[in-house]
Amino acid sequence: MSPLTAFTNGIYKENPIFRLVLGLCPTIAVSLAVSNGIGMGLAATFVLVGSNLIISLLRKLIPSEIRIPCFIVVIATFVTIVDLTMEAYLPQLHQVLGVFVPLIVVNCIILARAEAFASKNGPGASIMDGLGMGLGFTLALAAISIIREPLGTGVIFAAPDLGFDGIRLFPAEYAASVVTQPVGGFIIFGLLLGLVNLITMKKNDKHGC
Amino acid sequence: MRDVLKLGLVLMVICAVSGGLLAYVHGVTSEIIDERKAQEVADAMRVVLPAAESFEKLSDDELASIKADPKFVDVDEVYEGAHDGSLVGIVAKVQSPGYGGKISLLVGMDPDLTVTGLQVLGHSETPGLGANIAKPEFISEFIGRGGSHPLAVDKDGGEISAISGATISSRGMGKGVNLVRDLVNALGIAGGVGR
Repeated sequence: MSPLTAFTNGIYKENPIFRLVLGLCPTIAVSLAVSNGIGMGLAATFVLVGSNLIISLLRKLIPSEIRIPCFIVVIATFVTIVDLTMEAYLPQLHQVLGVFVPLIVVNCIILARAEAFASKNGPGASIMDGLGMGLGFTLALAAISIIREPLGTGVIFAAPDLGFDGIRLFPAEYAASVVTQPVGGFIIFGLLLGLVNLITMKKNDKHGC
Repeated sequence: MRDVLKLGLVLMVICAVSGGLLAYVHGVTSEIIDERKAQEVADAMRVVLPAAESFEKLSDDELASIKADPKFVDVDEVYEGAHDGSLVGIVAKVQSPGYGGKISLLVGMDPDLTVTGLQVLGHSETPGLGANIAKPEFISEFIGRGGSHPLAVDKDGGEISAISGATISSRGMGKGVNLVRDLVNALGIAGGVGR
């Protein structure tokens, strides 16, 4: 697999959220605001790129019997780095994302990429795979939160760490607070998933397969 | 047997490298994190009790005896603020129930039971709705109020205008403030009489 295919693969063809349907727990939990979604996505991207690189470099040294604990230690190390750095420099984002930052350790996207890709491919391709998957995750979170944030709160693009209150589209009284609940998250996610499937089917029809 | 040793060794090396790396990151970030937290607390205290020039934290023993009363289990820290040697009020860090979890508040109150200042230190309320409790517009609802009667939101017949769509979060703030009111009474400093 060429590095470029490895990169674009994660963004659309094997998008972790919309095509593989992995990592839904943090997806539903943090996609309440675009800034949270992007923050979470970038944190996961950093962990993916870092852990993919290290695991790819160590793939010949790690005995297969203990590969899972080794992967988890590598992933957990990167997650802790992200957690501490975020707490130091982006305190408000850290507070909102809360427990979901440490939980990146058990995010199945990351372990899946370590197991399915990085442990079988070279470091260059693994970095590209991590970047692609991470950006795919980030874009998917942004897509969900760009719908949930205004519907649920009437405000869009609020980013407390940057001192930005967001743009108010309509008064808070008209906001549908069900959208901010997990139920609303699943409904929006389901609709988007259907849309992505529809687009994929249309595209495949055109190519005659 | 040799296999087991080899497996253990590989894992140990990976863990050791990881531990070393994390120790370094922790060393770099912990200073910033601690400094920021201490700074936040110090700034917040001055904001919530402007009349005080020095603050003295209640000792762990004193706090434990306060918390022995089940009513005060949500009191985390208490500071007495003084000016020219006389007590001008207290600052208390309390938790109160919100909509999405506990709201962490820093409340300044003078011996007349008037709220001198209020800060939200942490919360997990809904962004755009309940999260507005941390906004100055809502916080200003509380400042200067209090005195003879406990505070309540307008829906409960009180004087605090609750945030539309976030009555539970608004009530949570009121509860936190009233807890400090009870605390001032319990400490026996209400009415301007020193302990």
